[in-house]
Amino acid sequence: MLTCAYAMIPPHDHIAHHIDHPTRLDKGNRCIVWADQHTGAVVRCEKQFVHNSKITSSAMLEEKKFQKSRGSKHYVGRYSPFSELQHYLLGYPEVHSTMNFVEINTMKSELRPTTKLSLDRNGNLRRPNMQVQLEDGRSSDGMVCEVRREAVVAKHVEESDPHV
Amino acid sequence: MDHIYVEGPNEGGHEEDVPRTNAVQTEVLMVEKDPDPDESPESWYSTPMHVLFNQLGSLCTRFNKRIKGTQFQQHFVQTVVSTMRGFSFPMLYLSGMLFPKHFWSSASNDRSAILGVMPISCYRGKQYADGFASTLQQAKTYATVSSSTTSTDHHFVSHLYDSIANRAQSGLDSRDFKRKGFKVSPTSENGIELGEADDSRLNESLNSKQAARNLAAASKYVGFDVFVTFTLNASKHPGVRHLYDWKQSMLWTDKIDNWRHLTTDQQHEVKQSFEMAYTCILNRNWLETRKLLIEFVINSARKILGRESVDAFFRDEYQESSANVCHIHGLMALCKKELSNEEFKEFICSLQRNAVCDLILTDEIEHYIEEGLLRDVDDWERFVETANEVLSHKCDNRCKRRVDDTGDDEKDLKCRKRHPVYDSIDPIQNEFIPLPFQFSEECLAILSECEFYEEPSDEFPNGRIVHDSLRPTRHIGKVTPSARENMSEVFPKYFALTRSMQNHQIVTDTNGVSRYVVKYIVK
Repeated sequence: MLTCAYAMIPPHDHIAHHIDHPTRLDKGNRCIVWADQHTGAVVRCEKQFVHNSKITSSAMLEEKKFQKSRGSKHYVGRYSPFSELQHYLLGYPEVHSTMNFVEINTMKSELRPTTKLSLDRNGNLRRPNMQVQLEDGRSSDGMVCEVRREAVVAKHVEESDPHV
Repeated sequence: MDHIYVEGPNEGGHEEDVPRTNAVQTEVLMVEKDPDPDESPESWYSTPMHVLFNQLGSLCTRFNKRIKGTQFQQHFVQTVVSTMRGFSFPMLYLSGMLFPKHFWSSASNDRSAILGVMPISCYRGKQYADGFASTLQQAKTYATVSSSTTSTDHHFVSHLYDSIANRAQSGLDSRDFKRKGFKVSPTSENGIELGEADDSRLNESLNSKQAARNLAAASKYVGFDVFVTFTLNASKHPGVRHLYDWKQSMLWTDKIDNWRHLTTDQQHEVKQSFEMAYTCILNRNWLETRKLLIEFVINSARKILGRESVDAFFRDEYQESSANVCHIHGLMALCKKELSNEEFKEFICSLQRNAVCDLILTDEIEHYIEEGLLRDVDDWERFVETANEVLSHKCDNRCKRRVDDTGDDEKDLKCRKRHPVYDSIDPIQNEFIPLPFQFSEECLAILSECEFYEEPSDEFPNGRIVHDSLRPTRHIGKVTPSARENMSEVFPKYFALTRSMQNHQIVTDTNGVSRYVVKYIVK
């Protein structure tokens, strides 16, 4: 199969794309672009293989190694395979799932940008949109936080009243 | 007025007067720098790179702070983009200028109009500029029309993608694109948009970070059982193998005029062109085929695996810079009805095979033939041969992960593929081996407060993690101890169907590993 990463030909918009296209997905490779220091008018491009950037420790070490190199001072991009470009161009979906994800807002209601707080003449909170509340998440904390909080409360109660 | 030599498809070359503007200079003038007669002429001159990047690319361009450049800089960029030594080209039709092999014909009543190309005035913000179809619509047409060479030229398709990508970047900070990349957007007029935007619905495109959180949250309610990977073996996979067979048969050379009289170099060139065209068609076929494959895997789980698929999530991924088509990572949850946890674990582990000799046992051949997965006994032999070739692990850069940065690749890189025999404790048993993970002292102190961790005692000298979720394990399936091929773990029925490289990992009750594979899919 052919190697279809397109060439870095200056009279073309490919340069802009190459430099602006490192994504946060699995990088796979790294493309470093710089001007040749001797001639200035020549664009040089180097491809580096990035070993398994999906594994966090491997990605960190790859980045560490790269930061030590001279290439870290230059523009860095990523070669996109031709098949990926064709995929995006033709608009085929990337994800197939039988699951339906529903977003549940876990931010405190008074902190949400859509919530307006005001007091009525008696000093009570005016909440005209009380009836049309979206479904809330019960808690944004994880199980560990919940258990820890209970443990701290229990410890506090025990210290304050040892007979309980 | 200049003259240009135009060559038609079925006729000899003839000289045409094409009115055009010679808006550029044929020689590029640049600042002279230390002329050295011993060096090549390119080394005599120098031009600041920021000129090129700012003017040619949209690297630092913001919507309301455009860098226009001086007249000299603009002139320089114009000379770069529109000249070739000794020739000049009209800029009115950009694609026509860049790809004359596709757009070689002028209109009969207007020689300066190149047929099939939109004029350069259409490359602007308006979606339907001057009444023409949008850039995206035109790009899709160019890339799919079967009667045109544009659909099989990867250079041209890349150019189309560039045009759309540049439009999508217009008005936005390019640093965002550098961080987030693009994603397919069915609602955007450009077809693609900034990745990882605010929306996080997992419909057709993927927001990597948010998707990881969503899937991880879902794993509390949906216990995934299998982590699957499907790749393409172009010579064997249903849906695309006819293309490979056609290419290998060389029957297509009958369509090439004077094929037998071409020199070896010319034949090599034609073969390369065919290979390029094949890649375009192969990818489009695979994108359709993998959709059918995924639907088949989801809907036929009861028949193939013996249990219905409750939930599934599949995502495409690309690797490296070569023209490899995408492979698919997925997670599947199977129905556990009527089975206890242990029974289900036993069931799901029994589906996985880890050695070529275990794939289809001799007493299972008939069942496979009845199901149509094997044609006959001879096909079983071919099946084994393919499995040996395709599924055996061959170490290369892709399977390695970096474990250190000393500079010595032999020490720094380590293969992450576990050997089903050497890395297991008892190869003839299904094992869930704890993964080595070092908790920090602070973490252990917090876990201890939550009563998830027991301090070291006489019974447990190293302490003990109480909660299952904090004890990730890895499944290593049972295997014939004499197997040496380090085969990828597969469900044999799926391999019999696709005859392509794949991997099926059991993640039932592997605790924290589920979170890891979720991240692996969406990263």
